[in-house]
This record gives sequence, C-alpha cells and structure tokens, in this order.
Amino acid sequence: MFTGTGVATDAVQLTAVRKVYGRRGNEVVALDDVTTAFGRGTFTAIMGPSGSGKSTLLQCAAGLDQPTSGSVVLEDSELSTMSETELTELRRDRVGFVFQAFNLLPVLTVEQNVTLPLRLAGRSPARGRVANVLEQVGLAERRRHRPAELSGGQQQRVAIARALITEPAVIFADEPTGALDTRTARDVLALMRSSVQQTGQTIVMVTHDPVAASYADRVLFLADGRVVGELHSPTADAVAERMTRLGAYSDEARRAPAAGGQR
Amino acid sequence: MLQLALRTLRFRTGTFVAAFVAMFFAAIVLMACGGLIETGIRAAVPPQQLGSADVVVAGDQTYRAPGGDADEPAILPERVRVDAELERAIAALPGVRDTETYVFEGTAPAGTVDAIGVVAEPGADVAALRTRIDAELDGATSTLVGDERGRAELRGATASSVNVVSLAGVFTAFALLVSIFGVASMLGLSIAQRQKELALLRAIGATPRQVRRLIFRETLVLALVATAAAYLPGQFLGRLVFDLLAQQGIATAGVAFHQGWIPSVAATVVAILAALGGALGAGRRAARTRPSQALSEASLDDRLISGWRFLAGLLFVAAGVALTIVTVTALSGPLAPATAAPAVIVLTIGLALLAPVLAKVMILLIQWPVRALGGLTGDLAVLNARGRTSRLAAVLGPVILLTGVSTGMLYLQTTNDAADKEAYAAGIVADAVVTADGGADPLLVEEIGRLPGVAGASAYVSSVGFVENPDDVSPMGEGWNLQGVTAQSAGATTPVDVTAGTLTDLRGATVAIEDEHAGRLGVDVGDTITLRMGDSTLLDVGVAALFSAAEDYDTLLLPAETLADHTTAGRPTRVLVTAQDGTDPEQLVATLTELAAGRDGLTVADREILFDEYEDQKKTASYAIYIMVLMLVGYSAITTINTLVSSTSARQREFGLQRLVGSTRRQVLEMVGVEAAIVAVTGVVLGTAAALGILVPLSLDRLGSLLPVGPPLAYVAIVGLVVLLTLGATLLPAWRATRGRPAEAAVSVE
Repeated sequence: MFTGTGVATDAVQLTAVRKVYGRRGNEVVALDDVTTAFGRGTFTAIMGPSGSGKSTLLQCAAGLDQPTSGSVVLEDSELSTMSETELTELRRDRVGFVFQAFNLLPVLTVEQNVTLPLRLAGRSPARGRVANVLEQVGLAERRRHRPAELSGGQQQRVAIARALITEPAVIFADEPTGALDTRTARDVLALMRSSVQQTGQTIVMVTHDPVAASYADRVLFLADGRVVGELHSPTADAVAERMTRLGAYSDEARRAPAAGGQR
Repeated sequence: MLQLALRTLRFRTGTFVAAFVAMFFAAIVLMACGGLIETGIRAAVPPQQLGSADVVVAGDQTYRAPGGDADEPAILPERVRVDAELERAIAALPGVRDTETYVFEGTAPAGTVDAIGVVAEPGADVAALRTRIDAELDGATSTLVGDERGRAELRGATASSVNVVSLAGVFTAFALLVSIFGVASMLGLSIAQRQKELALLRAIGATPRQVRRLIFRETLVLALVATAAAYLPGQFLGRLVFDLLAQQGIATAGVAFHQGWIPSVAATVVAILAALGGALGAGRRAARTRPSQALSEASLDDRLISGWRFLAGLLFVAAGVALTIVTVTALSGPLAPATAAPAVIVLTIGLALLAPVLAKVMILLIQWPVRALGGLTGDLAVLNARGRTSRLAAVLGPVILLTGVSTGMLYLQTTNDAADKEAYAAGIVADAVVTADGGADPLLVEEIGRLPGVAGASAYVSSVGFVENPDDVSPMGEGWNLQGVTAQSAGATTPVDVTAGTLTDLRGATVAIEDEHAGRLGVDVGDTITLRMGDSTLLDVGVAALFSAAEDYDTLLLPAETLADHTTAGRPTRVLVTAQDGTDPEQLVATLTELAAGRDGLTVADREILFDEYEDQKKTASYAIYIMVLMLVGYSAITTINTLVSSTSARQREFGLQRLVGSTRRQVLEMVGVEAAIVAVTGVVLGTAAALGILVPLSLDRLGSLLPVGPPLAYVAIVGLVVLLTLGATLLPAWRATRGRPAEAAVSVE
C-alpha cells in the first residue's frame, strides 16, 4: 500500500476540511476550515470542550466519515474521493482504532479479536507476530480468554494490540481512557507512549483529560470546529490552564463574531 | 467470517432464539405440507378385497377437462365402470393365471363391472403384464398395482387425494410467504440489537459485503439446525393434520400417510431458502451500518423505510388490489375464492411491509387520545413509538399478518359458504322432498303429482358432467351440475324461465341449457351436443329447450331417467314436490306422509333435508380450510410473540436508565403497556383493513351486502387474541427486565 515514492513526512494531512451536519436550514458546522497535519512517529492529543468537533475531526482523518469539503491525505492516499469499500480496505490496512468502550467482539477470544483485521483482509498473521504484539501489551497469558473475562484496562490493551497488528500508518484513539480508573489509565497511556517511542508508531488521540494529553508530543486545541491553538511537549498543568482559557476565549469569540479563531 | 458466525451463534445464543424459533416453526409447517402433498400424490390405499390381485383394472375416475388445470384433473362424481368383456381379453394375455370381476358399489349395469382383478402367473413380470393389459384398455380405464389397488375399492381416495394435494400446495405457498416475512422481521430485530457490534466490525475493516456474508452465514447455520430439528415434529404435524382431515372425510380414511425423503428434503431446501430470503433485507441493512456508529451512542433510527421495502410493499398491495379486481369482475359466483384467498395474503403482506409508513400515520392519528388519557406515560409511549420506527415496524408486521390472515381467511370461507348455500337454495325449487329407497319410478312421481295441493312433482337426480362437443370450458374446469328432472313438472321444480323450446320435451337423450351458454356453444333448440357424463361415458343429447336463470346457476337439465343411468345409484331416489299457491308446505308434507305411510321405503321431509346434506358436504371442505388457517394463525402468533418478547427484552438498559431518572417500576410498565396498546390497535386496524380490502368487494359481489357473513364473535375472538398476545408478550418480558435494581440494568452492556 505504502509505496514510498512520495516524500510525505506527515502520516495524515488535512487541508481546509469542512464538515456540515443536518439538512439545509438546520445546519450544524462541526468542522470549519481545519488545516493541520500529524507527523510520522508523533503522538498528538486533540482537546476541546464538548461539541468542539474533536470526534468529527478524528472520524474525517480516519476515513470513518467523509468531509463536506476539503482534502484528507493519509500517507499518499486522498480519502475524500474514495468509495466506502476503498475506505474500508484502507482502514483495514493502514489505520488502527481504539475506542472508549465496546472495542472488542464479545464472542471472540483475545487472540481472535487481535487478528480480526488481518483475517478480514484475507491474510494470516506472520508467525510469532501475534505473540509479539500480545507480549508488547502484556497480555501473552490471556490470549485464549474472552473479553468478558478481562478487566477494562486489559480490554483496552487488547484493542491497542488489535490496532498494532497491521502495523498501521496511524492509530486513532477516541477517549481510550475515558472508562478506566486513573491507575489503569496510566498503564494504557504509557503503553501508547512507548509504542510511539520504540516503534515509531503514529497516534492521534481525542481526550478530555489533561493528564492523558500530557503523554502526547503535541496537543491540538479545538473550539467551535476550529483549531484554536497547540502546545508542544505539554505538561498536565499547562494543558489544564489552557483549557480554562479556551472556555473564556470562546465566550469572547461569541461576543465578537467577526473575529476569527485562528492563532 | 464463518468462524465469527459460528462463535456468535454459540456465545450469543439468546439473540438468535427468536429467529431460530421462527425458522423452526416455518420448517415444521413446510415439512407437514410436504408430507401431505406426497400422501396426496401417492394416494396409497392398501387393498382389502383386491389383495390377491397383482394388477387391478378399474375405471379412471379423473378427467382432464378442457380449460381445467392440467395438474389438477377434475374428479368424476360417479363410479366409472369397466366393460365386463375386457375380462376375457385380459385372461387370454400371456402371464395371466386368473381373473376375477368385482362390483363394489350399487348394481352395475348389465355388461359392466367395477374392477377386474388380475392374478399373474407365478414368476411373471408384473410390470410387463401391466403394460400388456394397458394396451387392451381405452382412455376411461386404467390399471393399478401395489398400494394403488385400493383406489378401485375406495373410489373417494382419488378425489380426496387431489383435494389434499391442492390444499397443501396452496398452504405451502402461504406458509412460505409468511415464513420469509417472519424470519426477515426476526433477523431485522436481532441486527438492530447488534448495531454497535456491526459498526465496530465495519470500523476495523469489514467491508459491507463481508458484513452481509456474516449475516448470511449465521442465518444458514441457524436454518440448517432449525430444519433438522423440525424433521420429526414436521412429520408428526403432517400425520396429525392428515388424520384430522381423514376424520372429517376430506381425506379418505383408508389412505396411508407417507412422508418419504423427497418432500422432507424439498421442505428443508425450501425452508432454508426462505430463511436466506428473509436474511436478504436484514443483511443489506446490516451492511449499511455506518462505521462511525461505533464511536457514538445508539442513535435513533433516521430512516423511515428502505426503498426496497417500500417498493416491495407497493408491489404487494398492487398485486392484492389486482387480485381483488379480478375476483370481483372477472370471476363470478363460486369461482371467487380461487383468487380471493391469495388476495388476502398478498394484501396483508403488502400492508405489513408498509408498516413503518402506516405506523407513522396511525400514531399521528391516535397520539391525541393516548396522550390525553395516558398523561406522562402516554407521552413517553408515543415518543418511543415515533422515535423507533424500525423497532415498531418489526413488531407491527407480525401483528398485522396475524389479524389480516386470520380475519380474512375465516370470513372469506364463511362468506363464500353463505353465498354458495344461497346459490344452491336458489337452484332448488321444492317445498317437500320424498325419498324412495327402492327408486322413484315415473308412476310414483305421477301419483304424487296428482295429490291435492301439489303444483308439481319431479324426480330429482344430480351429477356433474362436461360438454365435449362443441368445445366448452366449465366453471374452474370442474364441470357443470347436471340435474335430472321429470319433463312435465320440470317447470314447477326448477328456477328457470324457458326462452326457447319447452321443458316438457325433456325425454330420452335431451338437454335443456342456459341460453347464454348455448350462445357460447353456438347451438340452438334441435341441435345435438355431446356430454361427458359423470361416469365417463359419452352421450349425445338433443337440445330441447333454452332457459335463462340466475348468474350462478351452473346447471344443465336432463330427463331424470337418462341422467340416472349414468350415476352410481343407477336410478332416481328423490322426488321434489312443490305446493300449489295457497297450500301450506306443512299441509303438503302431511299429505305426502299419509301417502308414504302405506308404502315401504318412502320417507317425507321438507326442503331443509337437501340443504342439510349440502352443508354436510360443504362442512368437510370448510373444515380443511379451517385446519390450515389454524396452522397459519398458530405460526403467525408464534412469530408475533417471538418478535415482541425479544424486542422488549432488549430494552433492559433503557428501562434501567428511565428508572434511574425517577420513573417507578410501575410507570415503566405503564409506558410499555401503552406502547403495546398502540401496537395492538395499529396492528388490528391495519390487519382488518387488509382483510376488508378483499372481504367487502367479495361480499358486495356475491351477497350484495357490504359486510361479510360470519359469526361476529370470531372477529371479537381474533381481536381479543391479538390484544392479549401483544400485551402479554410485551408486559411479561418488561416485568422481567425491570426486576433487578435499576443501576445494574442501566450499566449492563449489551
């Protein structure tokens, strides 16, 4: 899939992406002219108040949803012109997902869940690969268990293993620690962090939690469907402080609608 | 994908119980119908008296009438006798050791017998012998071997077997449609419940095609297990229905029930195909699942109805309307049921398919009274019904089907029975009936005719026959009624107005025929037509008179003695007597009873005796329909319960949430109760509308009344049953789903 002919240095590149929901007369602008990029081997957190467009951004970048206008390039593939089946195949090969909850098919074992994307693609996992990945997430002992027999944190680690198995260009995580206690959450985040550092995995994560965001290289702030700022090498405190200003900032923006949110 | 399908079935059995039950019962019904069809086609009657004969020569009781259904030959009503001379010719054939002649019914006319039993030489090839005998026979005679031989003794077996085959055939088609629909709605529901799972599959890389294949494979495995499990119960049901039919005289008691591997395999294949057909729509819906739904909470259904479903619904309704129009305009009188029954089914399925749209309309109509009466719970119920149209449509479909099919089929039968009886009664003109066991000879008829107060007395014989020359098509290819009359009093004992010739000329080989029918045949008084009589003999008769009569008077009049020669009894045994104006029928019966008192074998009754006999005959046919309707109703009731139970049980989490925000358990149950009432009312109204769609035109056409005829209590019972089923199948699971603590239920993951 990845030919290497392009000199793309970004895993995902979004240009002037706009997404509008609803019918005419009742439109909601979820994304308003968003341009950004996620570099290879980086860990980006997307933050913002509820309704700021975080999830929509993630869905458009991951090929789960099509933007109303604008361009999304994943490695060297333009997503906005692809058919649903092409998008599915691209997701299968180049994208990994970790959701907040209900990540696993309850009827399949850990091992079967992890290998599912490969089997959907009609491939079988390379020898030792599954064991390696399960080793990496610390669940080598649990491969024959079903999700109901695992804790929440273990389930999220299975989901990460499933995302890693295809060696995707990018993993998208939507509130991966939202349903976990703080200790378990820290383990899961550390696991994601280490896969970026050790194997050069690209991860994009949507989160509410400043502590979770502090594990990322970069934090992208969204408000009212626009990118309103970013932080590099964030600390939890800096992120939290920025979040409080984000609320006040958006209040001001509403009072003076002519002013843009670009910074 | 097969592994995923198998594991899903293994670990989430609960989700599939309902679909499994639907398939299981559909397969049972199909297997039972298959057994009945094989039994009917074989018509195996183990011989009693003919047991020693290897080959039996007997009259062919079937007749392939022009214009009739080739697969369903008309059955001749009289014993088709065999020329006794044949015995000598057969005895002379090589391989024949012995022959014997038999007469089973009445006295055979001179020179004829009922059957010739042929015993083969020891070691002779029976099949070859049969071929040699066949070469000696004409078209009206046939050979029987093995279990067919008993048909020569039990003449009714052939006729009843054809009935069984056609009944079971019709119901196979119905059961098929109903089961495709049932399976489709069950699968639709289970897919709606697994939406998140399917969305996850889509997100991590399953193509729409793969999701469709998953649903297909799950269905296939489920259908295989369901049909295998249905094998024995299906045979049992088939045998049970056959025994019931035999008890009622529809099937002949001596016929052996047979269910070999062919109908079982056929029923299995058909049941599996029906299940897969049902999975088509469900699979398409599953494949449409948007992968981004994996990220979000289960959303309300945004689509009212899929284009395919809407189109199919419109097509079914259009077909139903077309069948109704055909029923009312093109087919008249007794022919109407042939298209009316399919019209009911097709129209009902059409409405059930359009249920999402119709439900929306119905809810708009009934929301005001519900909200006014139900208060907050009523409000919630209406909102739930409106917000989840696909769930509503899934539970509504079976309710519509149940109401529509049971009401429609039942009243169709009673209305037609009433109309048939009315037509029959209109065809009989008599105030009293004299039965003469020894035969009503012309002298007796004449004597009765001379009694005081008698306007006319006519011998009465009835049979069925066909016009062979000129070419003619009889009603449904089943022949014309032939009535034997006494020439001089025919006018007083038949409901006809002579338009040409005279009925008093009905002597010897003559016939009186309806004038429009004569017009179609191109004959007039004095011409000759050739009749195929009820005993399969050909008879040239001269047209003595033309008459006009009511539209559904499908009768030709012949001289009683002429017709009687071609009946099994061989002579008339009844005399119809009409009273003069001013004479009380009771007085007439008294006068006749006086006459009968002095003679042996004479009995007198009023005209009701004929109607009672007619109803007895009819009753057996109606009974067959009722049994089949009962099977269908049972099946749709199971589908209804199935759908409602699984739909309600799946809402455990929703109920928990509702209780967390402050609803008492009672309020939740009240809300569910109101929802169930909405479903019941909507289903009953739409189902009744579908049934009335055909019943009203039919009763207008046949009886001239707007309302169908039948016991009103039956409708009350159907509605009661539907309401009870709907409420029970919703409230019980809701009661169970709200038994635990609300906080547990609210967080329980699917």
